[in-house]
Amino acid sequence: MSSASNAASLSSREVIRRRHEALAYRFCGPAVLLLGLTVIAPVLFVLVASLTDYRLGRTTFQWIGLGNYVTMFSSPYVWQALRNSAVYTAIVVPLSVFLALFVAVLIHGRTTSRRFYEIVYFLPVASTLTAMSIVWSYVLNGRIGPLADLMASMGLPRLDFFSDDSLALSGLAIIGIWRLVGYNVVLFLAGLTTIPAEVQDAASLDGMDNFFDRLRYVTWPLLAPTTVLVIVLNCIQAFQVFDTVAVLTNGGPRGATNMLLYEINTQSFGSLKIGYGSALTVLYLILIGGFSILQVALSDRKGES
Amino acid sequence: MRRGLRPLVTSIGAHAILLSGAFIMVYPFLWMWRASVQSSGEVFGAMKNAPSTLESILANYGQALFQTPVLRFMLNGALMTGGILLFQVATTVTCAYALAKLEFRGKRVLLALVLLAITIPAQAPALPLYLGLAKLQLLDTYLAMMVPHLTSAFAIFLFRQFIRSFPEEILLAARLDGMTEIEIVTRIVVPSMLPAIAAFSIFSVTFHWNDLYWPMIVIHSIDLAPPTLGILFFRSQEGGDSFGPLMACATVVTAPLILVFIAAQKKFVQGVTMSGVK
Repeated sequence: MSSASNAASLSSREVIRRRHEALAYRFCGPAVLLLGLTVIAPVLFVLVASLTDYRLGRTTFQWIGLGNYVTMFSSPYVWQALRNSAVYTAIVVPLSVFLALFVAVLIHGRTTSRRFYEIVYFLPVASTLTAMSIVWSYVLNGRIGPLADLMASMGLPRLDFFSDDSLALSGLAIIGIWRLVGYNVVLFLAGLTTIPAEVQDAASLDGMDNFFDRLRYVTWPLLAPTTVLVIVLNCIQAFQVFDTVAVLTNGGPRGATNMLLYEINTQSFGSLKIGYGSALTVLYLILIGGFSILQVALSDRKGES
Repeated sequence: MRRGLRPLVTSIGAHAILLSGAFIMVYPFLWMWRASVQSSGEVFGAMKNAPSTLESILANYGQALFQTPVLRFMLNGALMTGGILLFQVATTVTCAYALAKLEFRGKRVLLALVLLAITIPAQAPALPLYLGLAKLQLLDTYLAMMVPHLTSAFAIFLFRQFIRSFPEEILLAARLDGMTEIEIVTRIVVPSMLPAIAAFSIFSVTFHWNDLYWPMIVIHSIDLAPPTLGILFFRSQEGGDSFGPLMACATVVTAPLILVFIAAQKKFVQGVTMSGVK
């Protein structure tokens, strides 16, 4: 049993609620429609198409169950691409993380020059990788490149990174590290500001004067949450490497730098085997999606603490 | 007081290490710049009667800017990134406001959808989008370049976080004053979230200016190529002969983002690393 005024206010609140609801749908409409069309529907399409033998230009297709996945996992190219991506990640991620941690700790101790170093180390992140890859193709060139000149002057062989299939992946890894270090430095510097200065001071008073000891026993453990996040982010970026491959090697020589995204690109858009390309895309989605979920979970945990 | 010389020595050591690292970081940029201000022969070894630097600059940049479509590439890049950004901000701000401040059925589902969409990498929808655009005969158009990015789940999430902390009292007062919700968004909320919009803009523009993957799939005419694709066209057409102009072209393409970065260092770093830090 409610009084008249109560009923009136309830109904007016109800009116506001309904008006808000109608408004909210209009406010969200465009974004929802576009997200649906450009993200959700395509992903659903890929999931379904991966179960067919559809090719562009054909009018019919057949359901072939997991046939594309069987083909995919028995394809030497796919395994090669997965192996190359894994090796690339295994080189790039640890080195980028360690170098960045080291650099960040050194920068953190500076006062007047801090801004200068931050800018310089971040420059590669701010650059256009396609253009810089062309530059790197000359810098690492065996005949005319400055690195080869330097090595020759020290009596070492002139390494020609991108024509040698045992070196090409390392060549791309060098560029990958160059690009990632600055990004990681910024994340580590942000992490370092959360460590109270007293902790660092206390450590140096306790006789841990040695820089590496302090890094290992005090700074790094405190940076553990940041480090885990950085590793996950770097793995995502390493698995998504494409520009340097497309600009410098096209996956060669002899498939030595054929990595996951490049393989997906050639299979999907080179031969237009839609079903097979979709299956590859699903594999890619699962790998990157797994990393991303890990990242969201980690940053949520970080936010709570 | 600190003990004697030790801090000085560590400081010199730190600078020595940081400077050597810094040298490696900037080396490709220095090399690119040097190659763009020398004649092609000069870069790869000594050359007798090398033209003066000024002559080489004029020759290389002159050729890059006026005999190749590099300015066209830049214009295409500006139109593409600008168009994408405009759509992204226009479609996400209202949605973020609704998710943060309005009650409606399906809100939780929508939020879950947004979070799911964030985890999907940009390349995953490429194949179906390509097919759709091919069917609509829209391949090789500006629209095709922008279609996958017309809205951004990440922006919705980011803006929602920002608007959530916006004081309820102000909204209430504005409603009592008779402002409509859309007026509240455009006149009160948007001005207060300009820093977040700026950071997102840098994130978005950087990402799309540098993107090679999608333009490579949908763009075939040189006239429509954004800078990344354009410089590849230029390289394959000109070959090794016009090395100086190629490096001038690379410099021109890289310059805008680097300049924005140097002008607005803090904002830029925040924008680019934001997807990681959240």
